[in-house]
Amino acid sequence: MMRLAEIQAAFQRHLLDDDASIVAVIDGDERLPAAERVVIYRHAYVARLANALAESHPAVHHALGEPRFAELGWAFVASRPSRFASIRWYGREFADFLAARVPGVPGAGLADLARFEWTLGVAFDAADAAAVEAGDLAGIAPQDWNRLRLRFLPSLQRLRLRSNALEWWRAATERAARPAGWRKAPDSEWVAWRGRLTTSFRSLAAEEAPCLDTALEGRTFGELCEHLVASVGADAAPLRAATLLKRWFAEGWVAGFDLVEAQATGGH
Amino acid sequence: MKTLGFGLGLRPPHYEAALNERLRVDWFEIITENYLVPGGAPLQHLERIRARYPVAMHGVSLSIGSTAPLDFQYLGEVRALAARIEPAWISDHLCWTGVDGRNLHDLLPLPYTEEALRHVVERVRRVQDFLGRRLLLENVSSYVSYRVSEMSEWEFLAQVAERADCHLLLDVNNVYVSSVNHSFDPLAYLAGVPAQRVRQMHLAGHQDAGTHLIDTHDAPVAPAVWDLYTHAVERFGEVATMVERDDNLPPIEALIEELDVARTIAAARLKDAA
Repeated sequence: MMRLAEIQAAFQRHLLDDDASIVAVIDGDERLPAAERVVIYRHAYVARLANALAESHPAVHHALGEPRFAELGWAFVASRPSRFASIRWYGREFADFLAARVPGVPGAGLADLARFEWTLGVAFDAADAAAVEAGDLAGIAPQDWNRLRLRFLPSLQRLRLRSNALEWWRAATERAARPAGWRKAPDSEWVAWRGRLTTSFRSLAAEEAPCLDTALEGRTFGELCEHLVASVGADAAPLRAATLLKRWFAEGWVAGFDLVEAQATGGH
Repeated sequence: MKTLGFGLGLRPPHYEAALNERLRVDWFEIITENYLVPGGAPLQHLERIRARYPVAMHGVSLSIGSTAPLDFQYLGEVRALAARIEPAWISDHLCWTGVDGRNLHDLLPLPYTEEALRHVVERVRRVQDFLGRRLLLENVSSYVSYRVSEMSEWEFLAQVAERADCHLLLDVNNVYVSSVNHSFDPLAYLAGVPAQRVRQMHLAGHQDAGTHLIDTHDAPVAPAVWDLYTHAVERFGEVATMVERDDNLPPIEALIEELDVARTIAAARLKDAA
């Protein structure tokens, strides 16, 4: 007699790989034979995951249209079983899948779009944190500024776009005009975050992006200044870094800060 | 024992009404997994709604019947959410949802064998120990049954409840859907469920696919399910009842009207019984 573990393995093989061995242990009748009964589950499995993918990627769905989205969604589901307790997280690799599956510029653009909306989704229900104000830095002595390290909102997400994906996103979500097609675009740097409840995003200036990435890596204000020396010169770097910091505080991105121990900063 | 009364499944389109209006809804049931997120609007809405209504947690990923190991990371998240919102109870389904690290995101039926029974009972006990409370387990709707089964679904359900000392969530629609799909008498099912174990009932809609019924939760409760609910109230008495609607969501008023039907049926039956 087939034991529980064997039944479950065979049932799962049917859902994931269309293996029919489970049919032998299923009751059937004239109205609904065993093979047709298990197929109900197989169809429901694919439909449920494809539907989850459409819900987490509404702009990709809008851009592709239902038939093409369904085709790609089903192909993704067939190749990527879920390992997540919550279906909320299913589809994280859909952007990579689109890039590999759809050739040329449209594939890269769709991958951009998928990444963009996934990133907004991550920001939407990331951990809560209150922002601190720039005024809170007032107590830091001038000689300690080089050791200043910022901690950002957990919802803050960085993203790079290389296409006109944002036009497609706006067409789907803001009823903007549908773009004529997919275009390559110069790299643009973006950040998405959530204030208390509202998810926002904005582009970063060419100079701001690497500085923010440096700060997100947990580097200090001193290291940020060093980073800027190459582009703006040693004299202008501290003021430029301070301007950026002020802006990040004003955006509400900073959740806290501390002073790194002197030896850990490499002699600043 | 006082029950929670008549509740609805909380879905995002209901947030505003649940927060701002005086609804004829006694409590809400949440899908646990929808709130196992780090933070943000869903959790904030839930906490504010919880301040106004009792809430029950209803999970879909426990996979109590799976031969894969219990997922204690998931259970830890469930326990943390329970500590945060203090639910009236925690429920999930008598089913399995995957093996070998995969989640099939479906409520798959078990073979009703002594082996499966021992397996489930042992796991329910471990989960209850971990959560520090009794679970409610729900009967699922199904399209298959196994040739190896040694007992009926209701005998299996009753045995799980008694041996693991857990409670039951009786889904009246699921009993009906499965009774048609497997040609059994739904009244025999109700008669086989230990009444003192039933703490909650679900009502929901289904679709007729011709050769079988599909449990879709996208339509009003069907007349045949209302009939069966009448029998369920007779047998199980005053038990917390809710309408479960997931797709094709109507305005909340339409769901409250369905709740009123349940209220009327329950009041009439309980009056007759008194």
